[in-house]
Amino acid sequence: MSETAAARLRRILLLIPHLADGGEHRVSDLARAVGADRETLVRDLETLVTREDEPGGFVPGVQIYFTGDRVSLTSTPFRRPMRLTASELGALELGLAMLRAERPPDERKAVNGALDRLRAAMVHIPSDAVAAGQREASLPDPGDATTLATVQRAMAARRKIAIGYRGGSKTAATDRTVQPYALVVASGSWYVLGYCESSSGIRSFRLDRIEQIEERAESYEIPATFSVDEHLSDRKVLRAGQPRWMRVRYSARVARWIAEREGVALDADGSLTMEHPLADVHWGVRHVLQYGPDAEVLEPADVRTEVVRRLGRLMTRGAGEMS
Amino acid sequence: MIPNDPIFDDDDDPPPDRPLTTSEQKLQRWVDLLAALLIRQRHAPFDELAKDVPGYDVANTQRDSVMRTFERDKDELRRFGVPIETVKDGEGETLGYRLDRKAFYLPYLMVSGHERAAHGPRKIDHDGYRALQTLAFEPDELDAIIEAAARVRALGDPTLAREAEAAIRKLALDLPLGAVLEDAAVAPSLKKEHLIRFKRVEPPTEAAPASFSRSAGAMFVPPRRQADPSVFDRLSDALARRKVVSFDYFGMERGDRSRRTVEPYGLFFVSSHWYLAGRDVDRDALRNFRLSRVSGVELNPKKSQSADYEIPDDFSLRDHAQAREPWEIGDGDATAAIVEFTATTGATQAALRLGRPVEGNEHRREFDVRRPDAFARWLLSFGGDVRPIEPAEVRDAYASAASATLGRYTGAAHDE
Repeated sequence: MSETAAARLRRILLLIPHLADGGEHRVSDLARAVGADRETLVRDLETLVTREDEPGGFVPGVQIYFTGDRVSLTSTPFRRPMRLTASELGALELGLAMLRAERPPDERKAVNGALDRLRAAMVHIPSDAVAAGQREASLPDPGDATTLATVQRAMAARRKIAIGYRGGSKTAATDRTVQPYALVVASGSWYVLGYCESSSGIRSFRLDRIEQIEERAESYEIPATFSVDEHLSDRKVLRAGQPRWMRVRYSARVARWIAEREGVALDADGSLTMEHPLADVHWGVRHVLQYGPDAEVLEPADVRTEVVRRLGRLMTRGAGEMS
Repeated sequence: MIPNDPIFDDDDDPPPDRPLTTSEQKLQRWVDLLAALLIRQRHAPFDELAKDVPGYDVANTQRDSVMRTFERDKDELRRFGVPIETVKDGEGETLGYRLDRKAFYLPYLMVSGHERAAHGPRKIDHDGYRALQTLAFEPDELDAIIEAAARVRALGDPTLAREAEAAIRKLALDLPLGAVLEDAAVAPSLKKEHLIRFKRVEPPTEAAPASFSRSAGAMFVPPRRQADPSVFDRLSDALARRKVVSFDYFGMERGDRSRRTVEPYGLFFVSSHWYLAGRDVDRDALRNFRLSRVSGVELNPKKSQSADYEIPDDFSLRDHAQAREPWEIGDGDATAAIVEFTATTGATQAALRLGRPVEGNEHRREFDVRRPDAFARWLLSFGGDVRPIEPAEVRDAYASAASATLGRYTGAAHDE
């Protein structure tokens, strides 16, 4: 009930143009059009006409008639809605900026056109208005914008894609045919999640690691049982199947950041020991090494061994080359 | 066609069941004032407008106090976005107030190629509406607007989502945009919120662009800890009115909460998190605050109608909001570091897109490094597929990070 007068004014200025064509309207249709429930709408209309004093020379601005569930209204001054306000335009501008970043240059025409149109529909502000431009937003880099556009087109048309994909620890791309089920933005990257015919299972592919992409003529269907939730764990995109687990101890220097991100509590000494789903050994190695000596793999043994092997090789080679 | 049983007949005006609240009285004054301005072609002085606004009852109240109410209403309506002009004569004396209808009313909107469509804009044959222009949108521009609104909603800022929705509802008066309640096919953590999603309700009959059925919008998985909606609302309000804020901030370095006083410069979203950029008054420095770590926001209550500070002209939120790598953040001067990637894994290929190219060697990149230790850890994450070339400072940081990490596993290092 603590709605501001401004929020109610905004709704009323939108409501009247819907109503003021001289015809009768169902309250429920109006409620849907302005995005309010029936009670709110009736309360708005009552506030407009409930006068505590004699209207006197009151402008014949608005007259309202209720008949059961129907309402009609006459109004001279409010038959068009108000233009877009700076904050309304600002919100859509932000969304269009994000969209522009996702699309290849040759597909940005619609985005730029939309922006021009919306700006032309914005209120003309007198000089004393507050400046806009107080918000900015950016999405993770999807890599090549053509890749994202191709995935979106293929998904919309339910067509398979053929991709050349180079995994994080693979030194060459492999060719795969994929039925794209969903696009997901998670933990700083774009992923396409889908059925990989080459490995006969659901896999996720980071968009910026797709090196070639082509839409195929064959179509596919998304199984009714598919759910994105099953492939998200710890807010990350996982491949299907039972993951292995990796137990890592983080020192007190970095533990707070990890605990905040993962939504867990610190251990009593300020450090943190927790388990992560382990997609593959190389992923595990890269994950712990980014924290340097502030993270140590406790289990499984093969990840520990690989960390030690890699660090040993790095140090021998580094020393040899520097001397 | 108007039914003949108005709910409040003039002869039988029922008393309201309850007194109107202050907020409702204000709403009535606003609507009456807007009507009084919109029915006039020319500017009108306050006393003329007041006759049409029962809330400005000059006969029964002190004129000064009514004037103050009017001034406040006018300011609040302007802040809401209504372009009320003050018309002055050559001497600077106020002649009256005016609301230009073309500056206020939404132009007629339509879809290109649908000039004769049944649901084209309903032109109003009435004074003040005839002169309105018509704006034509291409079908793929409408798709872009719908997608843009979905992106905005995915950002998780309720203020922004509300503004985008309000904009689309206005456009939907003329344009074929319908709202559908959608609770499927959104990320699990969003599912419970029953999102409103807009869609095109009318398939274009001719030459449908390929993008029309673009249902392949991405799902955004929000971070586990999100900012409190009230934090957004208060900071947005403070930004718009340029009011100093104070709030409790959980500092990650020290792991404790402290009260901060900040002049807000802007809100930005990067790497799935919202941040406030602003001048930390006590530290006299530009700082970023992650909104999910902010609580207990209070605006400076003094002189609520006037601005507390100005945002410096040379501050660009767009430049400031660029995503930065951890090694790029810091107050010191940047060192140019050259690195060679010795394998071509997916991870190193992605890294080769960062930094600047090094002429004559496509395996090398140059990076601006302010924190060599943070840079060394990033290099370490390539598991030996990278070699720092110069400067020595970065080579040393890399070697000692590798050695200290190996010490963890061979028992040569201890927790500090």
